[in-house]
Amino acid sequence: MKVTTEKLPRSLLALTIELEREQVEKGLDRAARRLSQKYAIPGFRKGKAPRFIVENYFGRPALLDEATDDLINRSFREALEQEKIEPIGQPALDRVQFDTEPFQFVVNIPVEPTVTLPDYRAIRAAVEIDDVNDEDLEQAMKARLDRHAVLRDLEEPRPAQEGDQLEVELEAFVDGQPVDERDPDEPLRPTTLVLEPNRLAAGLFEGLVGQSIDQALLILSHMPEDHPNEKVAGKEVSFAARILKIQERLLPDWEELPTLEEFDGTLDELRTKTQQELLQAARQNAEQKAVNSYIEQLVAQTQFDIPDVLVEREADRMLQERESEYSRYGVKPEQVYEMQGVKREDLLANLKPEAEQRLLNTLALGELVRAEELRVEVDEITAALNTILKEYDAEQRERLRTLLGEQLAVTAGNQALDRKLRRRILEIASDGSYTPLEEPEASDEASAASDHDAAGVEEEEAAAETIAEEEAATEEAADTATDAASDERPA
Amino acid sequence: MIPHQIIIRPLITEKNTNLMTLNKYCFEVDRNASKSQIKAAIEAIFNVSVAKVHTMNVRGKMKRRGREFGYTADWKKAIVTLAEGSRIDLFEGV
Repeated sequence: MKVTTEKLPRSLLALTIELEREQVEKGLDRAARRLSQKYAIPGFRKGKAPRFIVENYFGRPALLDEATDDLINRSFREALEQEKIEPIGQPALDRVQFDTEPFQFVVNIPVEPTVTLPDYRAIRAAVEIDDVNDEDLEQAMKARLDRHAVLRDLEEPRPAQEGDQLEVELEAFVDGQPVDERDPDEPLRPTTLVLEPNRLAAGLFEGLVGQSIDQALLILSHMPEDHPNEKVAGKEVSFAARILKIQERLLPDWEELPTLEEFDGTLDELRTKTQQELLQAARQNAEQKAVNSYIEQLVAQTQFDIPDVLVEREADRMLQERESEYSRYGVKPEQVYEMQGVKREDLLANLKPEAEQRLLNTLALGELVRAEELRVEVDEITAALNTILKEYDAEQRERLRTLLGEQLAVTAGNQALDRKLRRRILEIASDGSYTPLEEPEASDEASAASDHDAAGVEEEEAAAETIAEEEAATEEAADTATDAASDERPA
Repeated sequence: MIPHQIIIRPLITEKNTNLMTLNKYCFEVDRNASKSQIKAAIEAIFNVSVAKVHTMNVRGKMKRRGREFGYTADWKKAIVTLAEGSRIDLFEGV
């Protein structure tokens, strides 16, 4: 058997396999035996007709047809072993020629994608931390206070005032057409509004202040150009409104706030803590933006050669994630598709661009992990495990360990590697001029709790060790890093 | 009789295929043909040399259709043994 390989675009390998005459003859013999076992030939018991009789009875093309699959399967497997090729998807048969010499066939196999990183150490993404000014601090403090507001029904009817909470029937119209389509027979659902100028659309606050219950109102409002709803952005919107209920919002005194927030300190200390939290959030945001920008540049400059099958697989995985979400709510995915009037295949096709982007991110980051030789040690995995388990009480921790076992260690390993990768990206992106934020470590309490069952921990550590040693884990972690990079951190 | 009237058809069955390894070939032949006529006809058609010819008359089988019954036709079978080195390439090497 002679095997020649040729590299094709999209990470495909064309394998031309040439067979000896003897191999083909053996294949034809096997095919004749199979045919004679399958079909009765007059004068012969099943399986007893010799090859020349079968060949004469069914014809050579039929015999070749029967032999082709078998010949291809056997020789393809041999060829893969001989050439040490590991396909990552279904091979596609390109050409077959078994009727005349040379007996050969060509198979296109998707193989591991090739990823060529650019000079990734030269990519820069600045970490620009937004200032936290007094106004932001005041707003955050006011939000804290607002959380503890108490609603009280009015003792005497009065018009709406600033600070009240209203229950309103509200419908928006643009050019006389309702913005949100609804069934005309269905009554409008009441909306709850807090009557404060910076919380409502321009004009709506002025239109509602001073109005009484059950009064039909028509309020005109000009929406800003950057309004998130495209239907109304930059347009004149008229609101048909009717106040159903007015409630007074009673805010606690500022001095009560530390107690209400269960904060052990004075109001000034709470203010300082809030400022620190805001600074931390601003820093996290800035870091996230820098990481995202770095990954975007990295992916744009990296050269990829990926097979379509990987993109299809990624799209399928994404859809399966969605389907499992549906199943969690007790809905069958087929029901959802039927209700939406879509087919699964169409959804898969629509998901492909997103899947390709996700795949590119994963591959580029995986390659970065390899290039930077990032690894996680057992103690790092244990620390990450403790951070995960910290969220649960002792009973749930045990249940988690039993249920998830090794999977938990894998997740912890991924998280640890993800953190390392983020830090490294920030160091590279800022050319060493920025020191990334330290992630909060697991508390002693959680560590002690997770050490409770020594045997369990040992098992997990053993599993974690395996992962730390396996290259494969880096790939998965890169995947997690991609997901994390695409998530916005809460401010 | 011309050779193709004597030799009606070759008989290809599991048993006869096994006989081919002994250089023996089976044919349905005309019921009135003699061994020498069969030998001459085989030699003429296949261009081989025949060593021996064995013949037998095969009785027709009884066939029944409901209450009616009858017989298929009687026929003659010939087992032709070829001389060493002769071979009939009737099917082989197709």
